[in-house]
Amino acid sequence: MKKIILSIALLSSALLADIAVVVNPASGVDALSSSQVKKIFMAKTKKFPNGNKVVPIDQTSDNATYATFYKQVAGKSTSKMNKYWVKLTFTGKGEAPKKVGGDSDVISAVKSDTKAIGYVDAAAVTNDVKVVYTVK
Amino acid sequence: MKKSLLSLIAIGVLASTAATASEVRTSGFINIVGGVNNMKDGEKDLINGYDNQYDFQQDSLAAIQFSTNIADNMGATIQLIAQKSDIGDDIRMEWGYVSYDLNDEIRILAGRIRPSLFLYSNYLDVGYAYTWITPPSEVYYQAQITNLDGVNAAYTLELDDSTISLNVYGGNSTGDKLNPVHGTTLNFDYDDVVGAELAFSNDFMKLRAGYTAAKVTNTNAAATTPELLLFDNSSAAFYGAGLSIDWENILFASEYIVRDMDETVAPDVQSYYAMIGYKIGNFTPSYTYAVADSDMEFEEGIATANIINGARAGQLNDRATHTIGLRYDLNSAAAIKAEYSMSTITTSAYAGGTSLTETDEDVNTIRVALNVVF
Repeated sequence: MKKIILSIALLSSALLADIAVVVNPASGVDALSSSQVKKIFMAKTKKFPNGNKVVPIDQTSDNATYATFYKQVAGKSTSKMNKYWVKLTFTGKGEAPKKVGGDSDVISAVKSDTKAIGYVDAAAVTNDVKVVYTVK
Repeated sequence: MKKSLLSLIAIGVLASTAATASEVRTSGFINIVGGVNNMKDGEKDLINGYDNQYDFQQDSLAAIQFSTNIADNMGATIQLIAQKSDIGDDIRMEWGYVSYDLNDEIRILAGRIRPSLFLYSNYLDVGYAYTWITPPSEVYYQAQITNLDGVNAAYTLELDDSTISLNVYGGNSTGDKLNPVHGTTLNFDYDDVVGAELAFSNDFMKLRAGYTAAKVTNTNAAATTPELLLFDNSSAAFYGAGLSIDWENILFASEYIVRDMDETVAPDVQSYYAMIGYKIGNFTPSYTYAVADSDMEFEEGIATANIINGARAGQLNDRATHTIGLRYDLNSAAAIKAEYSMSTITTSAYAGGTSLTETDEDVNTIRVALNVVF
């Protein structure tokens, strides 16, 4: 019985997965707004609101988290995000964030760099990183 | 020499950085385009370059771009494009600049830059980035500069849900160059080019207006060309406004531009187009209507009037084109496209006094394309 409840709980959390925006605990950043997160991940700013340099870490676009994150934060589908980066790259206006893979790759990139910011499935958050915004 | 110094510096900086440490990012794009029209043997569409023989070369190109960070606020980029043209198998440096971010708002590019003359000028070669195979020739044929050796300063103001940007650029563009839309050679120098673009954009639209002025010289003009036909440090101005919308499944783009020339063989031109498209899954059917309308300026009361009027009449390039297109996104980095265009091309001949004889010809053109980005 316990097992069933547990698996139901896991299942529902997977279905309703929140996405956590995470930074290095030593970043000096405690919370970000939705529009600040959007500006960082769309390369519209290179700094945290406190003025420190920020380096966004992206998931690869084959992860479901990628599609949900950009749909919620930027209002753009995966194909619109692709076109957005193509235009930015080939107009000299900015560069796409570095793509590292999935949740665990993002966590390890963020915990090793005080300038880094990433996003992961809320269930994947560890003590190595600090949640500064949650996408519901 | 002086002209390409900035771009050489850009290459030098990139090369030395690449040699030291920083990560070099590589990206690129490929367009493979084939087309044919139904003109009579020996005739050619002078604006888009097609005739009744299948051509897979003139609009096809491959580009590779390298960029790297030199410092937190400094980077370098070069883009090389290989394209068959009248010049031959040509590999050109389309871009080569050092970027410097003064702050979040101001980015300066120095070297070989792309001036934002019109809505799509900045990424005219990146077929994947727009709905058409190439943006309407009626507008994009009118200015032959795709890059400048000079400086671009971009000011970007991020508001809550929108962006206001001001782009200011200056420089020159010398030597043989390709027609920006299709691969024919032009022996024009553009000197003292200065321009500005103001744009407002948000998640689903961009509205922009721009003005660019230049001095144009034809470096291959016959010695006997009458002065009133000659490009010799002649003033040219390009200005216009454009709007693009990418909202839900709806795509829309429209531009109006003016080419304002000194007295030369080339006419003043007003061009415009409107495109509407609708995304259905991976398919994007679209319809575009584009018009170029040129003005004849007659000379009267001078001995060479007939020669001048005859030459100018031959350069009038009035046309109107209906295009039905279909884009299919194969995956997130490749698209195939097909377009069927029905153009009415008006050729003019001088008929004495201040009159012209105009002849309309209907031309149908089919093109297919594969666009890839990486």
